[in-house]
Amino acid sequence: MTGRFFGADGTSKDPQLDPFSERRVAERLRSALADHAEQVEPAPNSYLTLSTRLEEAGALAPKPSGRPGGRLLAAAAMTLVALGAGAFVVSQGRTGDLNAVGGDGADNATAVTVPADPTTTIIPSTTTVPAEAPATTPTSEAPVTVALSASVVEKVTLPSAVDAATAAADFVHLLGMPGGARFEGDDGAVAMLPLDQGDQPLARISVAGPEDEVVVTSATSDTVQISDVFVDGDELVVLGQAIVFEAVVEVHLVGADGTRIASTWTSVANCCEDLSPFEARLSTFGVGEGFVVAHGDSAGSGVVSPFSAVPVKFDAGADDTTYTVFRIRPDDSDQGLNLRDLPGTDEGIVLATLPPGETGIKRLPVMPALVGDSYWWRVRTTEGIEGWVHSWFLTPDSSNLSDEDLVRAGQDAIATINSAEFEDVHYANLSLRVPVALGWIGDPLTVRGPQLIDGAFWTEASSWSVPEATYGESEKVISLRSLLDPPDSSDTAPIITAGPSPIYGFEQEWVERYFAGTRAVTIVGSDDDGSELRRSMMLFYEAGPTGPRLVGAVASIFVP
Amino acid sequence: MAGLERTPTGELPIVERSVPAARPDLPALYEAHYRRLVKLASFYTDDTETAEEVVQDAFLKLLNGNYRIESNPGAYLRSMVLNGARSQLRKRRVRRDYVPESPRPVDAAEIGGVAAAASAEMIKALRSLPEKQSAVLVLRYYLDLSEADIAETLGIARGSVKSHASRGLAKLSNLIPEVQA
Repeated sequence: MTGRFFGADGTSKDPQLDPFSERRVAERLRSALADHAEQVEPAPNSYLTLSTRLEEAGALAPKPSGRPGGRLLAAAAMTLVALGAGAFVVSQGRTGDLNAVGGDGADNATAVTVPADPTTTIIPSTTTVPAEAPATTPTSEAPVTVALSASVVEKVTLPSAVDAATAAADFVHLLGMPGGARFEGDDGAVAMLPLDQGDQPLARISVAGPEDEVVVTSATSDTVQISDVFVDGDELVVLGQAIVFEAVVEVHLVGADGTRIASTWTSVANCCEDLSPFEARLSTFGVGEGFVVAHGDSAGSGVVSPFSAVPVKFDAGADDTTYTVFRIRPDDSDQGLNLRDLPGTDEGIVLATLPPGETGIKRLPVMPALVGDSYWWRVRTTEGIEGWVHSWFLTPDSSNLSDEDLVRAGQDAIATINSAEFEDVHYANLSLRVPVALGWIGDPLTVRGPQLIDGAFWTEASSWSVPEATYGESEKVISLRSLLDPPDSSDTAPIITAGPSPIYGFEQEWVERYFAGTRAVTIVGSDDDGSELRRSMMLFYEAGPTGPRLVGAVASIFVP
Repeated sequence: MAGLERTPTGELPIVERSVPAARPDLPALYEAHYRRLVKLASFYTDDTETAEEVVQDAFLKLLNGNYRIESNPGAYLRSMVLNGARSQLRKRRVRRDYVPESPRPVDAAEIGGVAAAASAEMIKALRSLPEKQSAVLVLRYYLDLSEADIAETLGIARGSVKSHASRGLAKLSNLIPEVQA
């Protein structure tokens, strides 16, 4: 909180200038802004640059009008293009396997600690996971303790590729590192090079094996290197060194099916000249195999950072996760998730439509299908129907979210909200109890809800025109932070409760439909003296791989 | 459900959503907004190249998103540019925490002079203000927007515009006392 002072009448006691001084400062500011602006001119070819970029992103075509599947694919394609992923094409329907083999590949690759027996556990330790976590298992059941183990391995099975360059491209895509790049090389090592200036490889991906069995080794780079992977306690520890522009190294554990199982980031002391050591710790879950990948921060530029990756196996206990149909977009015309006989929407038929909230869906042990930039999973419903569904629309059944976890998540959210300054709270209209915000976290293309950026909720002001606010008058909200009274030393702490996604006033249909399968944290802010409830916020969480994952929010203002 | 009208298909409107739209008139949008937006972004980004990237990102979001382009593209673009530019500013601050910025080249006195130095100091002070305050001041005193337009751009109440402007100017005068002279 910043130093704001309010009197008993609620008026600000911030220092103010007298009108004369204010005008003088304003004129100086106006002059300075004009001076600065005079020195700035867009590049002469800016229109060409802009139109080319828009053309490439498909933004100059008429907008799609209807079919949700088409819109999803369009969105996916746009994302892919925005990331510069057009450098390679991922084909569908391949049937063979690609083997990724551990070890260092390129001549100047960083040494990776590989045990003599590649499947030997490096350092076992213990972690606590539920003995089983079916949809109906209460979280209060006694957990069992299992050993977490992880090891660098030789071979991880991946979707297949037809040649070395395609294998490298698929490998990079699987790691979540698509972007503007080209792949050059032959059987020995494929260099991943930036599109514009090609001398400095982003990574060297070793490729070996006969043509009909392309084998990819771990990726290495000159500036981001993984030197060791081991288990400490219940965490996977990744050691390495890096030169990264933003002084931040992101480290992920990516499953062999492309699922991002765990992510973290860490900073290095020196950003731009010398290799600096880093240590990252990942909380993993389930049993599987995949890759530990480390890369720098692209600073949102879409430029692919140099990266390294090593294949690992990990075992943190059985994963009996069942899934709930969840992310059905508000504009889906079919109001449900289609279960198809083939992956993707271009071929095959719809076998069944699963309504939002359908639980107990079991993922089958079948390699997921990569369609566009999305994975399709083979699943079985509780009625025994098997087919393919788009994985984006499934979330783990929410019963493994404990109230304690959720309350903690709510507290974190409050801390996050309050960590940034916001000064509009006292100017909000308190006259009616109305919903003022409803949206998806991180889904700007469809509803453009709030996004968690830089540790705070931000959204686009214009997209938050909520027609029902104040019963007919549009109200726009730029930040969900404005919807809570941020508690500080003078405020009473907000009340936080957790539970299943509830019926929520007269917008219950929305909640039941869009947040089916989630659990909610209700935060009620009170007046300074705690005597009057003034605002509430409901945060919706789904079960993420490493804990509650915020997926949406509804906020209200109480009638005083 | 007071105040709500269902769509013809019985759905409830939530926020503005995707609608079929005509091909956007890019030249008109560009002509009307691009140059001023680049200058707007430049107050936060230091260099014109980054400012243009921010503005192009905003155009991309406008034309690729679900925003109804016929409603008020100018306000949308301003909002997106401010968000993007301030994001760049935050990133630069993070970088600065790790790496000392190399000294920026300073214009010779005969080129910039005292007035230029004063303007640069004012811009620097402006960037140090809380985001809302700086945004309100830039929109008010560079783009000459009305309070209503600023409120729409930033998604805040008109009363907040006044208070942010007032507080921002007060803070500027604290940071650079000589501006009152």
